[in-house]
Amino acid sequence: MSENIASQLRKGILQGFLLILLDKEPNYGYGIMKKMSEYGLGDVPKGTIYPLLTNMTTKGLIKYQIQASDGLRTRKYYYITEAGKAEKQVFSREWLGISRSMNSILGEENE
Amino acid sequence: MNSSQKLIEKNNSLRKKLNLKNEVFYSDFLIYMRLGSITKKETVVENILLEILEDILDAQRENIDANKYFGKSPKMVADDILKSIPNSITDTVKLAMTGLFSFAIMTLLPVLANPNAKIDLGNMIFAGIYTCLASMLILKQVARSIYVINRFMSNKVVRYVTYFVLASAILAPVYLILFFVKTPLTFSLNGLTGVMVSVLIMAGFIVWWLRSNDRKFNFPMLFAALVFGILSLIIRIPNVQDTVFRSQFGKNSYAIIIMVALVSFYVVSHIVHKKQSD
Repeated sequence: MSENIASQLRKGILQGFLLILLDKEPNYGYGIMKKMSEYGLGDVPKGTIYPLLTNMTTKGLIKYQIQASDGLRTRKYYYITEAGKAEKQVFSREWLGISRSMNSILGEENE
Repeated sequence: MNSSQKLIEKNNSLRKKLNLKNEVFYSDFLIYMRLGSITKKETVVENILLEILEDILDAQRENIDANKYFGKSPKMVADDILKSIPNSITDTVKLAMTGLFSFAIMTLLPVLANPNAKIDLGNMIFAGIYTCLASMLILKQVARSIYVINRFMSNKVVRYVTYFVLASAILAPVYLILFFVKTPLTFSLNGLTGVMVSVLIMAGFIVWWLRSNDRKFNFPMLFAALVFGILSLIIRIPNVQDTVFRSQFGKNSYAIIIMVALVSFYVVSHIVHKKQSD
């Protein structure tokens, strides 16, 4: 049950998280996964990221460019778009509001 | 070479770097995605497939299995990805037209070799549309089999026999349409019209083959077009036609020549495809 709640919560915030991450710096699939682990989202199934990235690209929130990586390899780097930046602002605002409410009620409970 | 072909070639060469376990995992995923994306833009799908392959290779370098790296059913991931790619009307129409055209040409070629045969364009169109729809259904079933049916039918022989019976049942109506449906759009290709159509088809195939990206793979099609095209030209020479169709021996010999032509087409296809898979 608790796992299900965690998974639902993560699913809801993942797009916002990726927008914030990509606004910091463009990144590619595996690089994004590593960053997610650094920020404590290491247990998110990595397979869920690909449909999300495709969906965000289709919606115009991010775009990609094939760039040379180490040696002869090329990587698909994702960049945030202007529409993505606007969506990120909306998400950040909503998230701050929700987290304030949650912190407030949880704070009362712990008092 | 167009961009999706370049992506496919890059995928083919990078895939060799996968270890055996990851190769099995990724190949299933790749086939499922390709079969399930016939209405999607090919470059978009190939781009995603290559991206995932690169990431699996990165994970492999850190000793993480593809299965563990995905952390979720590959079928579910593939379904979610396919859902998030919009359908491409242009690509779907292009594919349907290619299918219909190939069907029409492959039906027309053996008929051309018989100067007395009548060609029913209407029934050819009906059968072509049915074949395209049936092929889509078969592709869907094959894709489904990768993650669902294979689990229940572990015996390879049983699986292949089931596929063969299913595909035959789905494709059988094509022959019923070709033999029993008659439309007024019927014409004969004897004399000069037949010669002109044969020359046009052969010229068309030569141009198509010279411009194709994979000449080796497409060679059997060119071979069939040239063999049947040349046969249809020879049989339309008045003296030859009279000699062949005057006696039963001539008719039988010509039937054998057509059979040999058909068999040699299958042999050439088999050799080419075997060489490619090696």
